[in-house]
Amino acid sequence: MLTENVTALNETGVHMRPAQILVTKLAPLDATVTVKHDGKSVNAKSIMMLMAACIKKGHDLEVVCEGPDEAKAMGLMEDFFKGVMDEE
Amino acid sequence: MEKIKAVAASPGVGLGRVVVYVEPDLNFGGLVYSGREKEIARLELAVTAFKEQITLLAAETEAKAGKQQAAILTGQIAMISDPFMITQMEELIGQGRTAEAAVSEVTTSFKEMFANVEDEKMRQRATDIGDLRKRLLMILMEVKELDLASIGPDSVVVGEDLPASVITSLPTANIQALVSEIGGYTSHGAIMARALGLPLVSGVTGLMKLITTGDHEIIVDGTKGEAIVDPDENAKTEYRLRREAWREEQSSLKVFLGRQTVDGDGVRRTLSSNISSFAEAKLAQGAGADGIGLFRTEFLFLDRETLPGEEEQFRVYSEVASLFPNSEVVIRTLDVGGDKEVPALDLPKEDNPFLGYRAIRFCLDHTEIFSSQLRAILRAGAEHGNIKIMLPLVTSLEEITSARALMKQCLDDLKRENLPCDPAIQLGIMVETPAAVLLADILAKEADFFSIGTNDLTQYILAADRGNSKLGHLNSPFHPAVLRAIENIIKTGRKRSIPVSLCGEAGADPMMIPLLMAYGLDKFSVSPSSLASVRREISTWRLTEANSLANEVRDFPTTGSVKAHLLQVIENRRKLRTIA
Repeated sequence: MLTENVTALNETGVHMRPAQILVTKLAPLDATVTVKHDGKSVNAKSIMMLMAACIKKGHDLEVVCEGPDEAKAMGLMEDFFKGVMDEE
Repeated sequence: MEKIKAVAASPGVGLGRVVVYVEPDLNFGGLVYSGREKEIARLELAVTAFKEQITLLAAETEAKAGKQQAAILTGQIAMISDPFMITQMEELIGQGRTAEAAVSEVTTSFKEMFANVEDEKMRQRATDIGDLRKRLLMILMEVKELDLASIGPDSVVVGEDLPASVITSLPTANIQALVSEIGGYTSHGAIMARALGLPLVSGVTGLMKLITTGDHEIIVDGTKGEAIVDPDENAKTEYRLRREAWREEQSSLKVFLGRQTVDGDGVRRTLSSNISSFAEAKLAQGAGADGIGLFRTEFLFLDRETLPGEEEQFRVYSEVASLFPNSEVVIRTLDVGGDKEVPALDLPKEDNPFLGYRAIRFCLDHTEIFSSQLRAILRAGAEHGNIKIMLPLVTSLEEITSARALMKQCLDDLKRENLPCDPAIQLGIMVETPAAVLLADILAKEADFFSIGTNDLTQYILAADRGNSKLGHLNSPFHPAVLRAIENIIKTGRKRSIPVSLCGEAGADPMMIPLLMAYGLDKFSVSPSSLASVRREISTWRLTEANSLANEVRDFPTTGSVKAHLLQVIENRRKLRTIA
């Protein structure tokens, strides 16, 4: 199990398009991915859950990945919250 | 043959075959589970069909109503692509639920989740998920919503209710007319019908019973407010004559579309339009409006379960403002209460809604809602600097100063957040209460402009509810008291050097137009469908002629005498023109 503390740097929060890109990349990976924010944990393999978490720029988050592909999943999550997928 | 009298909701006449519009029945309670494999396969097929359907619809919507509306639809494709949501549905199917039940349960729980989040913008997703649920269920249950786009020529669409969303999806060229059981002149659907130039008679009680079975023909006279089901030959002949007259009128008006408005002296006049949506703004642009004189923003707030947030409003206001980069777009702040209920606000019913908690009174008490609208407007004004803000139902000076203070605060906040906005935006008021008329000289010190709202002004001056059909004879803008009020406001505006426009229905009345010119009105603002006829009417009047007509009726004592004289003068002028 991998746990990382990250800060969301996405300029205008989490949006549908980037969330869709992230979830598509996470889907084939054998790992559970959870984002903990504001006392709630959400499944990061769900576009809807990611959006409903209302994550905004500057929020501090805890990302937990567990399973054979956990390292790869964590890499994607870090990219996502750096805003890398916002551009795609 | 059956003749029914009801509300004349949108002018024009039409005769055609009845096409019935029914809200789809999506009750899946009685369906039988066909096994895990089969139900999952059905779900997969439905999801694929959903994506295809939405992709097509989004392309059509973008062309018709703009990028913003289309993005709402493509967002639904992203939602349905959520593997987690699909897994949840499949799990429910595994537990013995039909695909319909699984879709309904999962989407409903997501909808509730979004409806309860704090972020205003995310809350709006609840509406999208509700829409997604409906579409998926319709596909699964093979419930065909009447395919509106494929309705054939010479059709009259008849329904218990015809919401604006349905009316905009119709192939306008094939539609002769519309009839609905519920709704009135000011309902959202009626405004859309008028914008698209489709005749509509609404409030026809018992209509659906008359046409439940078989083929029917129907004549619809949206000018008179009359529908004739299964007309006989005489009625059809009479109808054809009326339609001819209507068509002639319409085609003679065509030359007045999309050109400048000039009066009989050759002086350029400002003629703008009243709208409540981007679709109407496009129509106004096409007809050559000098900008927007009244953008009724409450229609962004109706027919939905959550309030539109700052971002959504910002985008709509920007899109409308971009259609008129060289003229003004006057945005009226939220005018709710009275006859306009907003489900998302859940306002209590009042004994006297028109004298109640509404419009600016409500907004000044709900600064969170008001600020998000002001911020959206201030931001949208940044691009072309062509937006103005207008406050509804003002009765006192404090209302303007309070609104201005809040606007100032919004401006300061926006500057601090480095968001572009228009710091020089003008703030004006609707003059639609007797108090505002009597205080016009004082209000003019705080207001940057006046806009006369004749519909409310008439009902408030005459103490006659505009929705009460028994008071129809009283409720006239030609009542001498109302005419005096209009003239006084315009004169006061001139004296104080602030522009005065008029954005009520009366501004499109051929009998009112010369009076308004004579009083010195700076700007007319009418619905997109009236632009051509008002432009033609204005072009026939020289200022000296209008002045003498206004002088003639100035001391007439009654509505009847004023109207009789105006009608006679106008008829005589028409005859003379025809001879010439």
